[in-house]
Amino acid sequence: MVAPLFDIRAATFCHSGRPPSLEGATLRVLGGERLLLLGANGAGKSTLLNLLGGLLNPTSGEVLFENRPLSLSELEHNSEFRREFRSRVGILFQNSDTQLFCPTVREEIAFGPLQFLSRDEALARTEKTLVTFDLEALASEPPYALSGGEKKRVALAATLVMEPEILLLDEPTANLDPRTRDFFLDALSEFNRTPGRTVITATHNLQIAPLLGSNCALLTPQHGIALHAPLEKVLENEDVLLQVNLVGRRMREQVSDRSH
Amino acid sequence: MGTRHHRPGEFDGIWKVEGTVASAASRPGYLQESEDRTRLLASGLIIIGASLSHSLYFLVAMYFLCVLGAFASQIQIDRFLGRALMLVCVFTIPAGILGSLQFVTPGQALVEIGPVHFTRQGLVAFAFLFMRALVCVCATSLLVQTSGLAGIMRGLRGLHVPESLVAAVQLAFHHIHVLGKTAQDMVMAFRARALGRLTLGKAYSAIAIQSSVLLMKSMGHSRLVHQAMLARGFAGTIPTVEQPAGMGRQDWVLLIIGCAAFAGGLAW
Repeated sequence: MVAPLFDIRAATFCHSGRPPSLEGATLRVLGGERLLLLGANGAGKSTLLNLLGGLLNPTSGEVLFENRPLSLSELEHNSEFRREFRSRVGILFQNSDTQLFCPTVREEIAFGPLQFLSRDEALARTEKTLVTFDLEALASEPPYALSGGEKKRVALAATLVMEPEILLLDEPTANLDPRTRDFFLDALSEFNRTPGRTVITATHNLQIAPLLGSNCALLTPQHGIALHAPLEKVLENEDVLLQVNLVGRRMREQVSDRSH
Repeated sequence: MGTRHHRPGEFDGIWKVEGTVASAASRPGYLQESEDRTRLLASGLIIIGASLSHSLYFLVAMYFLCVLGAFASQIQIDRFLGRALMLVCVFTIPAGILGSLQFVTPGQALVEIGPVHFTRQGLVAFAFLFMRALVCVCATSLLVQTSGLAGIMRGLRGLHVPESLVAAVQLAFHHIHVLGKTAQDMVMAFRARALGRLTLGKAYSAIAIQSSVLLMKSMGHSRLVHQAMLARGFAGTIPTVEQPAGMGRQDWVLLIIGCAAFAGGLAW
């Protein structure tokens, strides 16, 4: 049996004094998998993604990365593991405003490489990424003054500049216009071209889901994981989608009208 | 490298100011072409010199020096002077008027309006307060407009200010922008739901009353920014791409002016 890349064992997370945002979740993610975390709003997708990104400590249960315990405190205490993990795992957050905090776009993209690489190597990689993402004209601009689509592009560039092996994406196409969404999907296809790379995407958008992944894990309204299966099988099972609030009543009526 | 200039109506409030700053900082000019550390140091020395000075003539000279700096740096003079005067008037006139009253600053009555007496000593103190504030605001405005945030950060790092302090300033600036945007969104939402006519001022007042909501949003935002930093390998420092350049002739001139302002402030 192949050892999983991420192994989530009965993980629960709750902010102090609030109901759990994830409860008893169990999931194994293999290397090279393109996994979708599908669930309705508030099902715990972002929480699960943050646990996989080592940004939270699970309240109970455990998360393993290549059989090593993974949590915020684990990464804080083990600098070698932190260095390795952070350079291999890239995270794209849902809200670009929180991801962009440097005074210029160039500094923003260089932030990650300057933490890990030599100065010359980091600068060379930054300039290359500015060209690849068509951001040269915005390089000296402050990120907070950019439009939503431009911010997303900068955030993606700042994530991919590290050339991560594993990509965690939180609602990556939310609020994007069709052109920016296509740009994003093209960049993702380019990323996936290298074999062995893993992409885990949290979304509730079933229209775009087939473009983002091939397998999916369904998160229930009870904040657990109901199913881990190929996406096309899940999409065929309308009852399951209805149970986890991924298909609304109106959408179901439309589908059933069309089939009759 | 292309620069996207501020488009009218694109931003409001703080965004408009940021647009003006970014546009001025990218313009060719004497101060823009000088080195970040020198600009920061010279501005600091002028501000300290003005704060120490006990001569109105010296303060007026410092003010004209700032105006000259703005002129040499291609900054729109009327807007530069207007904003500085407005800011200084708002903060100093109430304190100055109160401070000039005879029962606050006893002395020889110079102006008498009915039972209200303004003393000579009080008015002189007000003149000093006004001029010192004006020089400080002009020097700071000049620094911000010719450096932009990125230049100030580079300057602070070049002067070996502790990294944690520079990072705090940088993140605070980012935070102010996002918070400003959040406040604006809240104002718009408030206006959209208000019955009857609601002026922008009243809407802002209502949001100020609900500042606890803004504070909670601010705390949530800080947590998310920290997570984003950790995700990209943050381990306590924010290294930068651009390093301080070498000192040129005009940097030495600027430094000498700053030192002279400081020495003048000590002497007079």
